[in-house]
Amino acid sequence: MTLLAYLQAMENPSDRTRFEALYLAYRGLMFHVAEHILRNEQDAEDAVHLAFLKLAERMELVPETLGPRARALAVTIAERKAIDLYRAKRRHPTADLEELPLSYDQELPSDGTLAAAMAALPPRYREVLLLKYYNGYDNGEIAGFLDTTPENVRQIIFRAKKRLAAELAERGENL
Amino acid sequence: MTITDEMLYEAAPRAAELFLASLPDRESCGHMFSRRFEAKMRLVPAGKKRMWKRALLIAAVLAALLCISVGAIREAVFQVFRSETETSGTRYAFRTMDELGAFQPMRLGYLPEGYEQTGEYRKETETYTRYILTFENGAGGKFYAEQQMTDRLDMGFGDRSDYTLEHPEIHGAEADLYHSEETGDTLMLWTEKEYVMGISGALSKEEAVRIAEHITWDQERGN
Repeated sequence: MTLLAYLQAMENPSDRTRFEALYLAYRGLMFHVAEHILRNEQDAEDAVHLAFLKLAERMELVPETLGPRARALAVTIAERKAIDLYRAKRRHPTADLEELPLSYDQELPSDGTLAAAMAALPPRYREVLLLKYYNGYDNGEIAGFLDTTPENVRQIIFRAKKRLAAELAERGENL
Repeated sequence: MTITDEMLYEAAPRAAELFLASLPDRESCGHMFSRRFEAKMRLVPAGKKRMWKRALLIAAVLAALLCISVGAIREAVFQVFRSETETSGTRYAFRTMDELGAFQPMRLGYLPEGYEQTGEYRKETETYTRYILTFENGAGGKFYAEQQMTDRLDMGFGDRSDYTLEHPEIHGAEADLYHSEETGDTLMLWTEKEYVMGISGALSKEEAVRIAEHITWDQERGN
């Protein structure tokens, strides 16, 4: 990726300014997330780089201001790039990373609410649900961020709903 | 039990809050990124904007008072300020007070052997026009030529210590030509007519200069 390709990905000087702000605000956090998954600093930096490339490609979809939505997006993309890199390097199925909840510095609460269950979902489900229902992206936009297809996004949402329903039913929660 | 979209929209803000709260705060995420990473993120400065603004201000004052160039001040149509700090890398500010004319797309009269145009991108707003051509040689080689018309444009690059900087002359104006022997990447910026021009990609320095020297302007397609 060359400099001009970065610039090409950004429509105007405002996008570049926003990209710089995003970079300065979240690169440390994104590295932390990626390093937590990859356990290797160099690989984590590669994942952060790939995440910023993805964000640069889609600056028109990045929230206008820094805040929880921008933070959630940046972390989600970094996490996805780190998991993809982990899978590529291991060269064998890594169902554990996709199917098991992934906690970072603090354990997520399990208070039996739908919100807590969403937050505690395995990465693939949580990422898609937050991008759709929190960040407000449609399936095509989510597919672009996560390098998959809209149909796959639809299937992930379907499976995530079933999983949430099953988990809450198991706890006896009454929605 | 069925989970509906409405339920997920309602729960999502709290779910995001819980997830984000489980992440470390910014102070706990300090990491000294490697030079390799910074080199890959060339656009991005590592320092604070205030320092950049200060550097630009100093550059402008020096240029105005002492009639010396900071980076370079080229044709009358453009003032180009280049500033460098240890923390902010290299920053460019292109400024013109001149009336901008009709946009005339560039045409490349010379291409390195094997290259052909594979992409064209044009974006126009009330304040700027960007035009980018992509060229590839089918063997992994790729470069971009970019033309921008705007009254102000700011660019920034991070660590460029692995690049050499030269100043070839392109149609009477001094260009900034960065080249990395390690990666083979070349980036050249210059101004011509009312445009900020750029060439970037896996090119030799000589090829980049020759491409720039053979650019022509498409009169018929201008606005």
